[in-house]
Amino acid sequence: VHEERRVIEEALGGLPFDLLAPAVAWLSLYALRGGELAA
Amino acid sequence: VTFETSGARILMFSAYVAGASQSFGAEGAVALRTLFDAVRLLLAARPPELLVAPLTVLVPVGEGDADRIIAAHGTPSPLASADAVAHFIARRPDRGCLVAVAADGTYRVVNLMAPVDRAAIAEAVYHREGDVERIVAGTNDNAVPRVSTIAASNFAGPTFSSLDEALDRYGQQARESACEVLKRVWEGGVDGPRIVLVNRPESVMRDSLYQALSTGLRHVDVTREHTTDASKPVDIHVSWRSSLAEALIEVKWLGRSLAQSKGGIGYTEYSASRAQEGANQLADYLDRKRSSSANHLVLGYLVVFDARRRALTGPEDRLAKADALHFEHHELVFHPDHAQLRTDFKEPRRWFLRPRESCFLEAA
Repeated sequence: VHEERRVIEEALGGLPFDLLAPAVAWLSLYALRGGELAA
Repeated sequence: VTFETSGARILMFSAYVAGASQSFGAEGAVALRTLFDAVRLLLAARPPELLVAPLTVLVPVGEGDADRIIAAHGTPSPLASADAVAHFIARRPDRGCLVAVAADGTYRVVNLMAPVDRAAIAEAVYHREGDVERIVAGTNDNAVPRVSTIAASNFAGPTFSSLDEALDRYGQQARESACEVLKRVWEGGVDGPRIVLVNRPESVMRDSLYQALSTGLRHVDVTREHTTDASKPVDIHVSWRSSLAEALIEVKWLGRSLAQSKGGIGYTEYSASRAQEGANQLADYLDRKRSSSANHLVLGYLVVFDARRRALTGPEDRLAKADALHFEHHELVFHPDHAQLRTDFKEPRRWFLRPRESCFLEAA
């Protein structure tokens, strides 16, 4: 999960993962695991 | 449920981060983290679906003092926990509420006499009004679009909205008896004409709905025959593990069922007045629940399985289409209408159980 958070932050231009609203954090993990979000 | 999940889309949901950074620099991010923790706790204690009036939560940025900031809006009540704030809101649900999070994690709360000027607060602010959530940081005021229709808030786990969605989804299936449990409700089976119900159909309907909610909802406990202190238990009880939210579901049916007794076989028939009985019963459960539970997070749902048919004599009948479908669009009228009279009673749902079309009597 830590690595996934890092990749998401990179994909979002450095936006801190813990500043995503919980539903948006879930959405970004969903996107990453579905291959729709990549650094 | 489908999501569009590009990075640009996710950034759109998170525009407030840039706003907080622009207004407050690095201290803005620190305040946002505290704000999100507080909002998550508050919305678990008071689900967003129960917020009638605006809720505003602020976290001071940097060395800001919560007591001083909130004093500009009224005389604050110091409260130790999110549950205590939820009770405070429940006492006057029609009044807007401003909550300040103090440095020690406790809360200061005031009821607002007038809408709050969010930008003038100049701290990290969460604001919810109707279904719209905003994060405000000074002059940066960002609406936060909802990620999903299932969740009433991006900042809290879904509660009543997920139940609403699950009930509506189940209702679509129930119309065609497309559920392995509900199939058993028809005298003559689901492949028969579907015009007369089996003996005591309510337990089949309750079990079918129970199964659908148990498998379709996450992070909930669903139980049957939940005991209130009324003489009869309520059919289904739903409680959310991460929240104090609870739902009572009363199941009623209309139409004709077989009735077996020592005297032989007859019929039980329920008309629209049975739905009113269910509504009155549910209102009574809610009153009892409220008096036995201080948290006031209970909503009541009445669901009515409508199997009424016109000009029906027996289970082997073949009905004309007009008779079989006569009640399909007959909406129920309630007097008293509890859903209009009280805020904890959801609009009743009526699910018309369709007959089997291939069994209709051919038109002469």
